[in-house]
Amino acid sequence: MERYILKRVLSVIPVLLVVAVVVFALIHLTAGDPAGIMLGDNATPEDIARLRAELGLDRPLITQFWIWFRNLLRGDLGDSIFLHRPVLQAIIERAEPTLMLTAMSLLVAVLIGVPTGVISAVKRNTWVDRLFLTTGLLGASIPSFWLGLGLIYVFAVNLAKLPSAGYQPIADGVWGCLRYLILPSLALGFPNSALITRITRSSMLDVLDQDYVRVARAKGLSVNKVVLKHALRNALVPILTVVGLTFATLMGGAVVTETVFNIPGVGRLVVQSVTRRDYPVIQGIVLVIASLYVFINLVVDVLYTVVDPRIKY
Amino acid sequence: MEQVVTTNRSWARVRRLMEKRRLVFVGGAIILVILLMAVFAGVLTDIDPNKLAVAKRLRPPSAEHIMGTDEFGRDVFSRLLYGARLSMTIGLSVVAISTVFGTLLGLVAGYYRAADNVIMRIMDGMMAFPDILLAIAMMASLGPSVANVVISLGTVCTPRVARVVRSAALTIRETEYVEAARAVGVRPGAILLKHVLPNAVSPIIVQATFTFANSVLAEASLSFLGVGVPPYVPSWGMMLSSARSYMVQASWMMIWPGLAIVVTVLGLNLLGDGLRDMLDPRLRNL
Repeated sequence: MERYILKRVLSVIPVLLVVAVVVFALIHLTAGDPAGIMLGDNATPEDIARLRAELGLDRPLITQFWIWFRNLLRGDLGDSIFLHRPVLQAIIERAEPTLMLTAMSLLVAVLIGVPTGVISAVKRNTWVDRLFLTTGLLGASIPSFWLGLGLIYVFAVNLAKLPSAGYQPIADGVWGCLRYLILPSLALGFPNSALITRITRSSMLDVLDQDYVRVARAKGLSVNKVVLKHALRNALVPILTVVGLTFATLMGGAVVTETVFNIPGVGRLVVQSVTRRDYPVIQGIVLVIASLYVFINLVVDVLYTVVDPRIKY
Repeated sequence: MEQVVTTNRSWARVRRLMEKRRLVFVGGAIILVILLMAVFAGVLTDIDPNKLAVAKRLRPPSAEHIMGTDEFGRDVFSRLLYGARLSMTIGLSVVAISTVFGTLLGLVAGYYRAADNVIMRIMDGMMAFPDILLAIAMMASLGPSVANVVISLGTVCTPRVARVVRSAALTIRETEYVEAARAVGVRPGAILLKHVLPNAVSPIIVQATFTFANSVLAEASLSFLGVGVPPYVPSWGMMLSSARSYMVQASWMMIWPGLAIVVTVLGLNLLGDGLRDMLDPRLRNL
């Protein structure tokens, strides 16, 4: 098992290297001089030349990459052109709302997805099963930002029960913080619960057909006990995989949801940075989120061996 | 008389087939309607989607403007139809790009062990980015335009196609008829095109349908965020972005474009599910 974990940890290196190359390449997709584009039409040639030198754009591409990559390994993601601050610092300042939103949405998606999946499997081919699957299919087709607008319209504008926008740090009170997150995490979590429902259902169906489940029922254990203790535990590996994948989707979705609800998180920052042409910030955020995703997948894979000790690679 | 009987019988067969393939028919019908809306937008309405009429701004639905007008007095119904044209154009183009490149990469990776590691590590790296985030970052560099939305989304969607095709190719490579073809000296290129590709068509079609659905959603998200198509192009996402500020006075601006996205994506998802059941029965429970 240790060998498997070591192998899995090492396999992350080439993936992260590709991530770094892609992020580095992003700035060079621009038609023309990135420095000129970043500074806009009113920039003097001297300003542009200074920024070019600052970003190292006047050096050969391979040197540029090497300098950028070396700084990256030291945790230096460069400075924001607009905010006049290190990119990493700007990201850390805005990390809390995004992490809270992603975590809450994942909770919503799992709390909807796993129970409906289990019930669908147990009651397979009944109206309950069909209802859950249809709702899921519909849910997966709703853009989260439209659902968000609808939730704002109903709960914030008409019923005036919940805040329609903004965020309150968790340090200022847990309930106050959660109040701001209820609508956004429903908007983001619900559409993403459909995949979890499906995978849970199919994974449970596989397990429910196994002999040991029939034996457990035959020896007189209650349906609930069999489903939860025998079946669900053994159906957990595919469910864990899809939860890990959902986490990545949610981090991407947070970009859109934060804009809908005006949440001052990393996603909002990346969209603002596009308008400001603040490339170092865009690159930094994309890099951090992709690395986080690689790391989470690693953790999920290692967790498999804990959940199911039979897994050996 | 005999004629009638056979017609009845063939109708019964059609009906049975439709019941069995309900998802494909319902999803296909929805997409057909959206495609027709997109193609005949100019016939279905004679109002220019970009015609400004500030005097008539934020009007509720009426006989003249059946879905009301937006904050510039533009006709929402007309913009909805032209928005369908944009969604379909972008969706189909993204499918074309990602299918061609994804299939090529997947076939090579699945067939040549040496290339497999390199290609798939690159694909893994690209799949580490949340789709929408990578698309936003690419749009930031490329600038807002319809073509650039297609390029970004095409790039983002390619790795998943490659993965699907690769795993199909891996299985087919080990079959006896491929081994036989190799034994009689058929060149690798010909084996890939004549034997491996035709057998990988089902997963490719299924993946293409889901790519279509995802790119409709992604284009709407990009345009909603203001980093997609330029402001003058009628787009469902852009319509929702302006509807946000007029939610209270003009709720119709918010309802129709959202419904259009849901119906289109639902149609494509139904079609994809149906096709998967039909073409790949092993995955029926998924």
